[in-house]
Amino acid sequence: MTSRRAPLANVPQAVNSPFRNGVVGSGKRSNAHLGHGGQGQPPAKKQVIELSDDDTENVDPRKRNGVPPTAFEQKLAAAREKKVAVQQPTTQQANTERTQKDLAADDVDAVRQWQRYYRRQFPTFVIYFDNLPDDVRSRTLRQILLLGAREEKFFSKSVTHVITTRQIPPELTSTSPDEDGRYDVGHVTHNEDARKPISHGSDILTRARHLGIKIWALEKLQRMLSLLEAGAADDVGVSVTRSQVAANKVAPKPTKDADLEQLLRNEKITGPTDRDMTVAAQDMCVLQGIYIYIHDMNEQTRPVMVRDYTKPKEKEAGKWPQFRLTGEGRCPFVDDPQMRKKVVQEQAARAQDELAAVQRQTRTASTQQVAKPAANLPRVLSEQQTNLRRSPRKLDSKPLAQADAAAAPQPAKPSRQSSTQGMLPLFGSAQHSLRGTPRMIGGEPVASGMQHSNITSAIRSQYISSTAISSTAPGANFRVGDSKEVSALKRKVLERGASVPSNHSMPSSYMNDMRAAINNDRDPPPRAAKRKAQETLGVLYEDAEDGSRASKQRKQAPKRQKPIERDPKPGYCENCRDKFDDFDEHCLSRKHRKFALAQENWAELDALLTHLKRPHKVVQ
Amino acid sequence: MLVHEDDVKRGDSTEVETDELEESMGPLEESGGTVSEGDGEMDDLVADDIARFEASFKNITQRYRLINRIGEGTFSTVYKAEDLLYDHYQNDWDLEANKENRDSDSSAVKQSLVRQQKPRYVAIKKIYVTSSPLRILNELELLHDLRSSPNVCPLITAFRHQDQVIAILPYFQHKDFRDYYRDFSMDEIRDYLRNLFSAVKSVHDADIIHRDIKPTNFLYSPSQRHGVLVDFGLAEREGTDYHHCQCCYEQEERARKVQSSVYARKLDAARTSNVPLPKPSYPKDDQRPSRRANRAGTRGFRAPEVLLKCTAQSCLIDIWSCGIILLTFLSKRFPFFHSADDIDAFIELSCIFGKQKMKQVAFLHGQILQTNIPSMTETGHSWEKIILWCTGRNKKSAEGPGEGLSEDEKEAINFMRACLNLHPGNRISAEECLEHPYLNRTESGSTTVAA
Repeated sequence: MTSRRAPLANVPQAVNSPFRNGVVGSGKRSNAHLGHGGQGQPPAKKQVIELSDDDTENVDPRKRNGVPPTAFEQKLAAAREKKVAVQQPTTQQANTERTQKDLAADDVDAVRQWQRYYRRQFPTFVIYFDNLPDDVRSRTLRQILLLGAREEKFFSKSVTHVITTRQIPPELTSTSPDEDGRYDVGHVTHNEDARKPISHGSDILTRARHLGIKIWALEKLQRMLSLLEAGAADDVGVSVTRSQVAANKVAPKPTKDADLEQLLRNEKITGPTDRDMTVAAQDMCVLQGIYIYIHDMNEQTRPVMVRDYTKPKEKEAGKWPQFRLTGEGRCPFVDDPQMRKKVVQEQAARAQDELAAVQRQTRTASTQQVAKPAANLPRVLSEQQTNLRRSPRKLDSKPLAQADAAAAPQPAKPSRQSSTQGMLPLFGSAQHSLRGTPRMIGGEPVASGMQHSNITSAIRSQYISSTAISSTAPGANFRVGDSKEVSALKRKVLERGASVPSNHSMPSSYMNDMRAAINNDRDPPPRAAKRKAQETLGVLYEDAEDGSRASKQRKQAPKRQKPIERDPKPGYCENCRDKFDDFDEHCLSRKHRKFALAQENWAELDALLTHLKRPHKVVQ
Repeated sequence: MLVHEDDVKRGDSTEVETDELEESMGPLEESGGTVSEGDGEMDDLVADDIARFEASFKNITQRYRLINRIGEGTFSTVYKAEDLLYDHYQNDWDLEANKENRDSDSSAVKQSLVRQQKPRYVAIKKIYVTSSPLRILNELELLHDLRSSPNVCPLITAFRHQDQVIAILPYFQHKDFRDYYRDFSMDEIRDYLRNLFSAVKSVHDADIIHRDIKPTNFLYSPSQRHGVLVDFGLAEREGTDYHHCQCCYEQEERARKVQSSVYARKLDAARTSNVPLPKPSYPKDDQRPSRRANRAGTRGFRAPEVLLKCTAQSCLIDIWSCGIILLTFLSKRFPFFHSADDIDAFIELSCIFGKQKMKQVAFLHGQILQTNIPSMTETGHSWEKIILWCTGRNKKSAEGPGEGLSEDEKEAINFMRACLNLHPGNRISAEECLEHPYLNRTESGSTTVAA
């Protein structure tokens, strides 16, 4: 436990924390104020005494002498002192550490006892709030009401506790030199700024003092409230800081307490706590669409995973991984164009049935029906396209979404699809796969148009996802052993079959838009993913060329592969700690050669290599 | 030409984080490299590559005759080569030759004649010069430690010339995973797994985490029913960079921590003040440190604790990867997970396990999962359902869970479930795997007495 506390106290920023300055600065000031020399003890120490002193007030009088009830108070004080006493003599710290250790065993028990006591006591409290901002007051009020206490709107004798943000006047009987420590150092400035001048006799705090009413600083109450709210405290040291953090989260006014640094940190993360929480802070990214957000429960580290997908019209079109229609051997999360082809063919066949039925009735109606399945085309494609966007990008693909919206007006969904709609893709797709090969009735242009679109999409989803993104993605026509060149050739074959007819089966502007969308990665990919992205784009560029250039390339391609032309291999050298664009070039660089030839870099490895020498055969 | 160029990616993280830089420096890349058999005709590029390698490494041609390039990974290239000086050395590593010696009745003279006629092959692993000596040392040292493990590919020897280090490994005849994973019978799957888990056990017994178990790193020969684990490039000793993680606590302790977390308090505060919780948001310019943990491994095979950057990872991450291999067999899908990155990987797992369990696993590592992905169900799907669906056997009117699966399959699924436990603490160990009734069974179906 102490081991966990220690690092907190040793947080380097603690030395420079505004809190520390505050202590020193305001401490001096308060001393000057009161005409004390301020030479005796460091202010920090005084505060410690003040706090523990202050806290004894909270202790059940019956148990004041017993160790267990005070353990927690001491613990609190000790914990705070540890934070404060950076400049304290080391012996002092050692002492606190020892006490902490000694008390550790009693801590949990002490906290529970303390909690029990105050849960009982709170209903008897009549609280008067002095000089509290309205929002804090309303929030604190809610908390005390929950614990059974009540608020007195006007100061009177019936009040048992005054909660204030102002300086607390000295206790009448006390003549202790530590007394000035009772002034809440953090709020001296507050007092100076207070609009209401302190006039003795009429001031509520002074009167409360005279009446023997307890006067608590707001932060003290907040500390108590948070501790009371916390269930059984698991680890006192930690729970103190945690609950204080929590209290600070509830309290809009930053209390200059030991955890100011943590408060500030939290504010950085979640924004100031006194703002309207329903309105996002300016420097925050709010997850608006379909998101996944995995973050640290104590907000101490950056989120481990954040991704915000744009909301699709249907969830099947979503870009996040989900079960897809796939055939055997295929990854169930990657769209399977062959499977899709089956489905589309089936649709086309049905459309044919319908068409035939309609044709029997009237001739004019048939032309309308021809147009209907054709209108399905962009929808299928736009869904296909979502696969491409699965390549990791830092930000959501808004440009893509816009291109989508512009290029692929969503046609009304045909009603015959509704059977699979409401269901999970898992089961919808399984049904499709169970239906087997679709019936084909007559080779009408409508159906062929569908097929073309699917071949195109086959190139895209298959080759982009399996070569560039997933080398391990299987393909019926794409084996793991295929070299780059072979797959490139295969792709070209597919491309030829696909791109030519697709040009007249759909408006070319659509294709261009889509290509533009695919290649239009405005956000530079993260450095690490860059290379992969380049590979992806490398595949796409060819695909994205307009027809004439692509055909030229096709003629050149076989020739170009003949000469030995190594692609520069980019990477990172761990030894030079340098990124490079060309592996071979880097290895010849002066820096790398220097490393390679420096014997001292290899001493350790060489020692092992001598052990690894191959044993010679014993000559008989 | 059977060169598989695995995608070489360094630090694939797309998370909003800064540890990408460190990651690409560290051993956190995907490693790959398929060693496929067969000589075939050599590509010009490969010939050129080999020629340059031979020229750059002093005296290598005296010892080895390079035949082909058989694998390329993130950190290395593997070549098939003839071991020219085979007969000069003791070759305890050569199990095949040992067997020959034992089986053969012929005289020693005859044997050596046979040997001369029969070329001896080795695999030469050329570790890229951009790898740090420390990384190379680590790999070779671990391999050396594991030299007596029957299912781990032994290290014959290693050489260095300036910055170039090469490791000489036995050339192991095997078949490409894709050629058999869909056709394996339940007994063949069992044989495969027995080999795999005995390799994993010996690695774990030495307190080593392999970190990159996947079919391409387990060379298996179905005809010999023997397989070896290769590529220890990402392996590490258990406990390296170990830091306390929430998952180290006992359950009650952890529950308490979760309850007293900042997030829980935020929820409480919102509840008590009757304010709806705002949409989740995160700082644009996040100054907080990012959570750092070793995430080395291959996408689709990473255990949930690796995805969640658990800082107290153990050998059990390897068991998860083995479970994924079994899933591949049972579902007849390879790869089963696409997992373009860790976020996708996490979502894919969520599709199966459901939101509830994934939230729990996030809690386990001190994290909060918030998501509104519509295709993610609360409770997920059972493995039985998924296997049936993947193999196209689910009917509209399935009578009950697991209906339509053979007894063998049900047992395999139970075993797989034990390997794919989201909580590493509840995951089965390699030793327990080998004792599990599923693996401990003969082909006739009766359970063998453990030797």
